[in-house]
Amino acid sequence: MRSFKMAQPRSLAGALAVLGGDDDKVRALAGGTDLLGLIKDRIAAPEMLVNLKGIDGLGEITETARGLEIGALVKLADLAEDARLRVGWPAIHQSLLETATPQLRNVGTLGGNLCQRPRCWYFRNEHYDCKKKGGTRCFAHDGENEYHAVYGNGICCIVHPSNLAGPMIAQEAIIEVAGPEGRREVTAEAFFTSPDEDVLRENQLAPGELVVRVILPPASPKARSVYVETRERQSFDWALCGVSVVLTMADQEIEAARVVFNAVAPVPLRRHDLEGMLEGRRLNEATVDKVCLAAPLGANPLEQNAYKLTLMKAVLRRALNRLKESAR
Amino acid sequence: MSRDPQTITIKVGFGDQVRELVVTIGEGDIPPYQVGDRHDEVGQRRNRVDAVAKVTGRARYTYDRKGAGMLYGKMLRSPHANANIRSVDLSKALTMPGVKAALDFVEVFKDRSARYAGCSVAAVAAETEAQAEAALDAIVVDYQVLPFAVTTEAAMAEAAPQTGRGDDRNVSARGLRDGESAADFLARIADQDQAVQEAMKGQTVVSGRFSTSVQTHSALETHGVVCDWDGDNLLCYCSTQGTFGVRRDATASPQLRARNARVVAEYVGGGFGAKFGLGREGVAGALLAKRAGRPVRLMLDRREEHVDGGNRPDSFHDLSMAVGRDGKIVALKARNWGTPGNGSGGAGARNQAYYAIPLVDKVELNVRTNAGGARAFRAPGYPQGIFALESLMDMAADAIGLDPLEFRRRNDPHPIRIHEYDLGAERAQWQKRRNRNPGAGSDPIKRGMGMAATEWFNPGGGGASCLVRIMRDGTVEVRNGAQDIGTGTRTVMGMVVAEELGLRIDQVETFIGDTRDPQGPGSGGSTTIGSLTPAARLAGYRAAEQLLGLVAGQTGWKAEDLRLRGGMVVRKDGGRLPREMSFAQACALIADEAIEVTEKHPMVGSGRNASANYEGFADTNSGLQFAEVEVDTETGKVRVLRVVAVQDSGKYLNPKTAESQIRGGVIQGVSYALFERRIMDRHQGHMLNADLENYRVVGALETPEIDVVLVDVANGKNNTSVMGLGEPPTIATAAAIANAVANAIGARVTSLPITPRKVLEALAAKGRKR
Repeated sequence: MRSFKMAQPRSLAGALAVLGGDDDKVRALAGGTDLLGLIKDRIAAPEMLVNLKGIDGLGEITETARGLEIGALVKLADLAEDARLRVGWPAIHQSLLETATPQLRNVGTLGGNLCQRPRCWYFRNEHYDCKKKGGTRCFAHDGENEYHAVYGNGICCIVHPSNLAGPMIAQEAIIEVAGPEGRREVTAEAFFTSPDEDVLRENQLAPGELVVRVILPPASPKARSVYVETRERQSFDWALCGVSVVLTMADQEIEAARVVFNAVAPVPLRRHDLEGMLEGRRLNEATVDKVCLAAPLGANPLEQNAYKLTLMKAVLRRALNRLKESAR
Repeated sequence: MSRDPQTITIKVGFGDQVRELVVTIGEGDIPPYQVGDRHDEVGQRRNRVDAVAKVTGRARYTYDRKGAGMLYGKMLRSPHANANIRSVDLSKALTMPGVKAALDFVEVFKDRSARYAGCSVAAVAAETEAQAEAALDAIVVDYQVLPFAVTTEAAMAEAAPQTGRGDDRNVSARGLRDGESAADFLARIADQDQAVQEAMKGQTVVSGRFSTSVQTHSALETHGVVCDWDGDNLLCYCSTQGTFGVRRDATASPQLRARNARVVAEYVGGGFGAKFGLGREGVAGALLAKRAGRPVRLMLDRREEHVDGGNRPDSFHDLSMAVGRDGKIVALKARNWGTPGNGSGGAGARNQAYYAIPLVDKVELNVRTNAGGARAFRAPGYPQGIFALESLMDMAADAIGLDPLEFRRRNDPHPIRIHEYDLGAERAQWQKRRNRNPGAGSDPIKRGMGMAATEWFNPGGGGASCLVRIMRDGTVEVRNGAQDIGTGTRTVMGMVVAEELGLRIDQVETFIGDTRDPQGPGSGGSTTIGSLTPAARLAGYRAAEQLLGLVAGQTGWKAEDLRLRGGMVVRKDGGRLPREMSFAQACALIADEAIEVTEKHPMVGSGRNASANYEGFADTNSGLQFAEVEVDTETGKVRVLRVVAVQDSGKYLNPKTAESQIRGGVIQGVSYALFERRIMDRHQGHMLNADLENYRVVGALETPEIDVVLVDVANGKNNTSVMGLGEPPTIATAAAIANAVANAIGARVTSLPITPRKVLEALAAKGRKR
């Protein structure tokens, strides 16, 4: 593994001061579960890492008037055990339980999870100069693409690797970012960047910026949420397909719906069309059947990944059925 | 009772299948363990002697050897799937910080070809790993890049690029004509066997295309060495399953010219067939150490291990089987092909095995590709061939309306397996757990059960010796220089000696994995215990004989009346001795420091006719596996709930380690059935999943309940009556799982691994047929 220098700032301001310059040369280090792999695989070659773990105030979970505020350095394992999250934001809680392994959750952080780089095997292989690394070609598009995107795959076929990204959008999280220009807030939905916007990155962070906090606005007492995913192997694997569903119920009727798929597109895929089909209806078998049938609409599968369309129907059916059963 | 000192009558068999055999045993050998023998230590469930050292991390593997003054060796690998090397320039690398030696493999191995991405082309040794890596970047290689074919399909295609060199063709097969394509050849020989053609007429014929994927060994410890020289003598710690083979390679190597070599592998983190010989990495490690005048550690990383550490070839099978009205197999036609990568070996799928098949027309094609070479892998050729055969067996049973178990029984000539059908069916609850209506019902989760058979043939061979040393203070050492790759060899070697000395396994010290000790076999073909334990038992027996001779000399008792048991000298007939004498008191009579006995595995006959084995109850050992699965028809996910493994393996010396061996085989089989496959890129020819993330290996959550049923057979083929157990438990697992999936969903997945994608595709195809 290539050597690097390490900065150990004690404050956010200190970290931002070091980070400021060239993104490729100076990289922020939290849990390191992704970044160290990138360096070992020779995909990233930073000269300096800025260790964020010494910064106070980014590792807490607090309940405020705005909702649940979660510091970017909160470890996934700790977040998964937070009772407030489990009760108030079930989709996020459930997705955490499906993330990686206990060992990785003990090290990986919330901020790092949201900002991790894609797992595409062409991107992760130093011998492939793909578009995401500044090259001119997507090798997956007409190559080995069994695990790749079935939506939005015209330019680059990655699927967004974060389990948490989908439910964060479904549960309307706000992401607080700090940078040289100060702090700003972005909705989770706006945070993730699709390849047609900028193929070189997966989120809206400008050079020198960091995720510092995630704010989960209080969920409506009428809301129910769920996360369902399926994968090849149960012990440590990435989702083949996952879905987060949040339904706000008025009596028996669905007042508002959010449906966000993950692992099917380069960014979490929010489905306004399916949400529209749910809203104003009762959550019954007919509704479930109808919406599930429409789940793969608009997909553009590649040579080896059309099976993901079936999986979209399967996870959506399970998610809706679970909400249906919990309503009883 | 014996007519000749070496011709004796023994009782062999199991259960009520016992018979007497008159056998001629080797000179100096003792009668095999046989039916009715009583043992105190052998046959007991004993923990492996190194269990605590392993789980506490005290056991030192090659990978753990790190010491002061040691350099790190690293290899440079070709980024091209097919290339010739024009030149390698080490000059800049040699000036890099910390670099102490560098090697140009064109010069070392006299090979200019780099016929797969990841082929090693140069190496360096430096003070730190990072320095070694940096130095690799400074090596300049001039490649002549050539077109490539990395998959079996691509290399078989018309006008495929030549993957090898010289006259090597991509496809080789007996009868293949010059210039003939694989497709033309297969068409030409389609009906070549008239007898099979005739026999199939009027019978029920089932046919199918089956395939399996390339599986890498993925041992926990990668290949590698830690090498140190003392003058011309090499000390080589090596992660190997053949210490003496590595030693031979080191002294025979024209590059190394070691006068002597000592190879040490006290603990080995798995081998599975990929770790015979010194290999390029071993030669490079030793040569770097020689050039640098410093110890060098050169271990492969995980990526290198996948790409360059060997694999099981993939396989494609076009099979047809004809079955008569009586449920007997009439004929089998098999066309197979697969790739051993750039290696020269064959793909060798075994699907004509076990069953009584009167007529077989089999043609196999070996396909050379630009990918890492195959190496022996736990039952080479069997899991892939048996998956295809046993899938077809179920299809045939279905076609003639017979229960698959009954169909197999009718065609099975094996004397032990015939008995295992009932045993397994009962244990697995075959009748109850079979899905009577595959695929039916509204629940998306379907259950099913399937089965498959296994067989192996190795009672061990010669080439093994064991040293037993009884010290005057009562310490007992049992020594052999071969390795224990995790199978329990060390433990059972100690147990058979302890038995002869009337001790428990924890009262003897066992030493293994150092070529300074007596010779031992490479651990391949399931031979280690069958080769080694007869030598160990004999050495223990002779050592006991010497000790009892001393006792007799001192006490006036008759040596032939005595034996050692329970830590005491006792009378064979159970009568009382005039006074008690413990094992330790007997040892105190040793006049020198120790009794030392080295015995070889006894042979019958000599020269070319020499045989390491006797006529026994059966020449092969058999087994059956039953798998129960749950298939989620919406997500395509298969969960293996339970595997029942019925297995005979001659005499079980230690049922506990034997069961572990079987569990390991089943776990690896589940992994092969559901997950493992090498994925090659079509654009640039790299293995894309050379990691343990996308190369999925079974984990704890995918490991089923494994119910092992040991069938203990006094086989009599050697003095410990054992048969090899390394490979047979992994042969049937994937086949049984595939049959269980078909039984669950009413659609057959004909390709391994059985991924969600393939399950969903099989279900969709079934839906279309309706």
